[in-house]
Amino acid sequence: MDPIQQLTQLMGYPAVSGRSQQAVQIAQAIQANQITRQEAAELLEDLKTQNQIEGQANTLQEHLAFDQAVSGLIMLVSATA
Amino acid sequence: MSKILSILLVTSTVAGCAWITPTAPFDSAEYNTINRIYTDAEWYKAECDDQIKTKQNFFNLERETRLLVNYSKDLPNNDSTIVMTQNLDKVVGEAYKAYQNNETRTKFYCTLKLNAIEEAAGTIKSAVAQRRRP
Repeated sequence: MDPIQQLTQLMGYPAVSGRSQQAVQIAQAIQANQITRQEAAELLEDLKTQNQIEGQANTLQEHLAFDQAVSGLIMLVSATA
Repeated sequence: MSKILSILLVTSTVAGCAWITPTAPFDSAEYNTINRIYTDAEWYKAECDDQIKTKQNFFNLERETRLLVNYSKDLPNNDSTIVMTQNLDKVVGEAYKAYQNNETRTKFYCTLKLNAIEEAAGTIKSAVAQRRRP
């Protein structure tokens, strides 16, 4: 599944909702040239790290799905850089 | 027979308890440092337009985060916090290096990076605040 589509679906899960919105916001910022691809890739990695910090206290399925979706998005961002 | 059962029960209970790792109690110095990082990240967002102030702000955040990592790792039974603070350091460290090397960063990057730091520090802050008081 397309990572952005997957992230949009994950917005429905409170545990990862905020971070999923941020990931989509970053993807949109690339399209609008508000941010460089290098910055975007770093910020997406940050979202994964934030996810790990939360997962440290509470390992939920949504955390794993979020990690997978953002990894896909990072690959897309890096491939088109 | 009941004596044997009692011995088995006691032995298995003691062995079972050995698997439970105690967690470090609430530490006010640790909490204060995390709270300072959280509050600074929230505060510094208003200065993302100013590159010079932003460079100094990320220097301050990196110094505070290193202080936290170095303090937390010396507290006994503090493994989960150590992992969390090291992850926070990863988030802060990249921006710190970029600004110290005078690399160009957009305002959007600054704001989102500070959001990430605020959220990560907020998660750690809440986890630490819920610890039992010594």
